Amino acid sequence: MTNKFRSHGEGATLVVSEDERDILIHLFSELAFFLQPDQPEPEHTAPLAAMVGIGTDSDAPEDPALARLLPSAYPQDPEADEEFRRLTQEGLKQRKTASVVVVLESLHTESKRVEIDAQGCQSWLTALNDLRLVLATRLGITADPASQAWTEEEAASDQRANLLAIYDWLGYLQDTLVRVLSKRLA
Amino acid sequence: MSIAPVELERPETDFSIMPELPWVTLVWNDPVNLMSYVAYVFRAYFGHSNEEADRLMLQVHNEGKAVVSAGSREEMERDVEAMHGYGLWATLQQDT
Repeated sequence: MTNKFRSHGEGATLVVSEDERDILIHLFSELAFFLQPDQPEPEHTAPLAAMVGIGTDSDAPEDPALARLLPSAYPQDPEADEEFRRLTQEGLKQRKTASVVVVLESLHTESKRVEIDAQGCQSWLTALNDLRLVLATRLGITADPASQAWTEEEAASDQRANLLAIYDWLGYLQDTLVRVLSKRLA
Repeated sequence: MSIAPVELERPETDFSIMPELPWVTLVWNDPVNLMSYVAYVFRAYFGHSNEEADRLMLQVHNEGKAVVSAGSREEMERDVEAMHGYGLWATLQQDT
């Protein structure tokens, strides 16, 4: 696949085939659903706290992919970790979701040329990274070999091979965007 | 300059008035984040030069982790939250 992000004014463009766009829309939609912020229970959350992203959500995520997106800031200190999550986790999820929404909006175009403004480039950059983190966890590409998510049978399957090809492609795409944006840093 | 030996009193350290140990932000290696991306984040967020960002990125890659910032606990919590926003695996702890 030869498509890549190209610098365009203060933003970037990406040319994708219809199939590729469908794959991206599908994956990013799943990511948005996956990240969906918990609905705060009104009786527990002050309106102002909800506005600035302070939620009642202070538990470490059980899903390993979500745990990778929302890692522990204090792995040695459960109490401090819980407090940090209470103050930041909801806001972090909201910002990650907002980036995915920007990406999905830019993909909803009839044109094969996806046009992205400067702010949109930042959304694409972090959303692509979050998507790769989730796929990697599902593929068992983690720092911790104990969390190998696939049995041998599954590992040999077409499904895994397809997912791995998509994962590699997303990494390539992200790298081309990093190159475009790196050139703009003084 | 006098060469006479000077009697120095051994200073007594009052640990109760020592400033708190500084806190540090650590970024840990993971097999997913692209090396180019990690270096980009260090440049974009911390304002590091290309060389310094590459040095830190390679330290994360080769040694498994690197201290990327130091300061007050509040400042380090901000940095860790920002790193999590970028999808980097960051933690904070008191410097030892």
